[in-house]
Amino acid sequence: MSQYNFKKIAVVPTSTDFIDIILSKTQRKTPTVVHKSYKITRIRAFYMRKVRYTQQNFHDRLSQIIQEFPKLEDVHPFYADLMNVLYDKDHYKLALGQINTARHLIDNIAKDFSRLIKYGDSLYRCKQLKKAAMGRMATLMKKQASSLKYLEQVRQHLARLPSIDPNTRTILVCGFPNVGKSSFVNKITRADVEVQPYAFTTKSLYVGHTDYKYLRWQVVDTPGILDHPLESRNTIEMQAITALAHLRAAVLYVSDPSEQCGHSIEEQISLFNNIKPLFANKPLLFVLNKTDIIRMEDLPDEKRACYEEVISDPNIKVLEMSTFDETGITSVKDEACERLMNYRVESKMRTKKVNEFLNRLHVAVPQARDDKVRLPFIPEKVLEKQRAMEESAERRKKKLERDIEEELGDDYILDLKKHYDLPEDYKYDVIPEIWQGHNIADYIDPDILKKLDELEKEEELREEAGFYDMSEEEDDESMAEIRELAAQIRTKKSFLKDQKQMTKSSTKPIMPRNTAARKRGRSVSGLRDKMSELGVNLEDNPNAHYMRSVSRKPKRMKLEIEPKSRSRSRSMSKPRNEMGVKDEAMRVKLNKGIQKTMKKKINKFARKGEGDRHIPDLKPKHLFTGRRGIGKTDRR
Amino acid sequence: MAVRTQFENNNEIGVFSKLTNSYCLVAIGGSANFYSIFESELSETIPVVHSSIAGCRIVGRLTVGNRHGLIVPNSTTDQELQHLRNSIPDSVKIQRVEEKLSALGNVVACNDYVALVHPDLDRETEEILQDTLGVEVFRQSVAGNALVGSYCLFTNQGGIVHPKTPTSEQDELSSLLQVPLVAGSINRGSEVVGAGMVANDWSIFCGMDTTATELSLLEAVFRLNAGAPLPQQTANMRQSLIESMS
Amino acid sequence: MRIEKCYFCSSHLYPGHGIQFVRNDCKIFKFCRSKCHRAFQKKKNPRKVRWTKAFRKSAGKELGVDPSFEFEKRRNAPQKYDREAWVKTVEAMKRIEKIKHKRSSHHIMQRLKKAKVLDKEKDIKEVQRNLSLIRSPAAGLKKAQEERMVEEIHESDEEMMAEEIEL
Repeated sequence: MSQYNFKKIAVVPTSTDFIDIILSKTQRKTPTVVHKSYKITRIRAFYMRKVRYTQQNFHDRLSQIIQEFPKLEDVHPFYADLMNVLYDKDHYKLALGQINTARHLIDNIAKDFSRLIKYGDSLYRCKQLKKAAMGRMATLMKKQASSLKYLEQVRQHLARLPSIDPNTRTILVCGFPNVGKSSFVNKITRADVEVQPYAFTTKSLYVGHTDYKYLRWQVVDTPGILDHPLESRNTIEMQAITALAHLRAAVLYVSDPSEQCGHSIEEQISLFNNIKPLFANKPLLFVLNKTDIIRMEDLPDEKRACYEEVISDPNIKVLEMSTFDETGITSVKDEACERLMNYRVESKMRTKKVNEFLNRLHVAVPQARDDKVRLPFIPEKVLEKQRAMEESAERRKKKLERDIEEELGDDYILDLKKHYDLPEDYKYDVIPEIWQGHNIADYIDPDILKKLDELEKEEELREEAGFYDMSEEEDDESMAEIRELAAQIRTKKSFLKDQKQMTKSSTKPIMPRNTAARKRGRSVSGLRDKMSELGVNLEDNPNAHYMRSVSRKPKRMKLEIEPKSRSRSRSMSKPRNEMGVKDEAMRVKLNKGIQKTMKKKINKFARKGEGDRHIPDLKPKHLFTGRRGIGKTDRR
Repeated sequence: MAVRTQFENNNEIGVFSKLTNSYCLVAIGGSANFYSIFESELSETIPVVHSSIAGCRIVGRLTVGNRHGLIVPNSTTDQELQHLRNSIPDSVKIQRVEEKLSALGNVVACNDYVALVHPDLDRETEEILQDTLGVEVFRQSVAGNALVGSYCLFTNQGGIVHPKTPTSEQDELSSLLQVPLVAGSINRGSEVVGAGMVANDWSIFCGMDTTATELSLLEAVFRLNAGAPLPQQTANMRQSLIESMS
Repeated sequence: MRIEKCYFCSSHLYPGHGIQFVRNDCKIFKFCRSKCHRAFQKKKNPRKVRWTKAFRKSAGKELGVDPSFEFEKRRNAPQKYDREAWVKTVEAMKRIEKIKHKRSSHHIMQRLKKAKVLDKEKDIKEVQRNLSLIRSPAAGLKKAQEERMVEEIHESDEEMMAEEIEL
């Protein structure tokens, strides 16, 4: 709401607290261990850091205070003046100024001493210098005790000031003490200002809010003003004067013709005239309160004559009201609001800003483009209901979904089908969605049956026409034989193909070491079998040697010859691990032996395997037992 | 009747509901509060239907409709479509459209006689709009925004457009739509008037944040308080409008 | 719930299955499995990939156009629920399904008929060409020779008999 909110200012500690806070922070946040055996640069840095850190903290805290307190030059003149009245401008500025100088001095002390520490030649000397620096800073702060105390009081008071927005629509109520200003504010707002039958019940400004013409209006209640010169006014009255001087508001000057407030009409009029300069350029209402006691007409003539001057002024509207029996209160409020609004709108219309929202004040009325009548559509029932509502204020209570939900609590389930526009008996049908992989919704069609009948008729016609006859001539006998033969040929073919594939496609070594060489595949018996399978008779063929194989004798015996050259002998030699190995069995045996020797080494060093990585204990006890503090479990 | 309401702490009422002269769609929320507000005002005259579109609550932005019909986007499931059909009387046509701009509520604004549509809308959709909703269709934009459904709202009685719409454009739109128009905001200065509220010829529902000035303007524009003609009513409010706007 | 069709292979997509891709022009593509999704990502045209329904239909392998297919389509204008209508629809669906099945299977059988003729030709050719794989051309040669010899002997015997008679 208001941009002037002084509730956020941080608490200002007393000087002793201040020193404690800062020094304990230094103690906590800087290293504490130093030894004289350390290198001197390290010792110097240690103490320099302490001094610097303390200075930095003082600096930050003091700057925070200076920044957070409102600057009288920056705030709205109303607040500046109000603060002047309440806290004394000079005092306030002085206190802040002193804080500012203290800040500078502390900075200087820190600078000097850290320069001195730079030349410290022992731990003892450095420590003494640090001590001196901190001591001087503390003394400086102690001297600020009074201004800190004052600022704390100001802070507490500021936080309790009413949040008055100086720029918004405001109605200001002023007048002598005890004329009924606060009662009026209580009547039109919910501010609940204290009302007592003695003067100066209201000692400060109060603010309340009221509504008029869809807008919020701020109503400011001021303490009463006595009729004496400005210089002799006290703080309470000055608050009212400040508000009058600076708020652009509608002013209600409340006067008491019954003189029950203890001041005569003449006094009231003279005060009015006295502070008239403050009403310049503001909508002004002169309100006569307490009509329940005496009305304007009933006043004696000489007293009425006092008012004559006011009544005759065309700029001043005179109204009557009674906060006791509440007559005329609303008219006073309305009149005040209306006058202020007119005034504000007028001044706004004179600014440039008005162009931004001028379009929103425009009502675009349509020009007829044809003769069509476009009537609104309001059901008769609605009109009936509206009429019924006008007649009787109370409404027929209907049971709403919300009531049902509340009644049932956790058992409530939203019933979507309740209001279906369907016959009662199949409202709650479970509508099928899927049938054998088809969406039923895709078939829903009002004339599906008609279309289906057409389709079935077409189907019948097709059947009659023999569309579906699948007459197939039977194969004759020779064809069956051919088929059989073809099938046989195909199996044979595929068999041959496979065989070829097997011999051809193998990527393994042609002769693995552990297999014996394959024997020759061809044989007389094989030939005989194959040919008989193909239907060729090989019997009784005298010229053929199908019956027995004749082994041919070598023409010439091969001689074992010693290799001639060395190169030849190398090519004949075997790898070393195979040298002297007689056969497969021996090779296997030897292999086992090699593995055994390898194992020996591993066993000797008590290894798990060949790898050289060894973790003796995978779950060391100290990492996995005991209570755990904050932090990760792997950092212990 | 003007009512302030909220959908689960959200003031954008027009997103979660759709109100026309013959039915009202309301999103399925966590509780029945939102639904019951519509129910208590409307259920005696028109059906108030709990619904979702493509499993989403943003029914107001996805659908478009008036007294004659309801158009839903392609993403609507068969079951949701069936639910709507079962809940809404037969006099209202329901149609699903295959349209690239699937948030139909954002791209179409209509009353029972005319509709404003996004300039990029499909021809076919435009035809369906004419057939199903029985409206004249105009391709337009409001205050430089192509999303006409979001930035304006009108009934047969009157309408409200984006607050920055120039006066000349207001006049042009008003002659197209044949209803009086006013530029205004909703939900304490929100510009998306179409999404911030719903209205029909006899009621308004708007977000909880709507200020008294905004609400009074709405009541005047949508002719809820039968009385003086609109220009006269707004003239009465002129001062408070100026006061509230600056 | 709705059973969708895979964009690529046109198979059924039951609720909770498959993956969906929405192109920035708002078109939705649904895929039954990663095979179809990948094929789509490779910009394969389903009409040109042999294993899809789209290919089979466009290539005439399966029945593509028929009035019986016209019943099932996405309806954009809903009908109010009516129990009788729904019962009738389900009944009708069964009948339509039957006709659809009959027609498409007939279409396939019609195609298979042609294959039979071709098969026959192929068989004959096979036998003509490769008979030697199962039966040697020399098979039965000897037997025939022997028979012929026996016959000749017979004949010569008869001649001799005749000569003897003449003599």
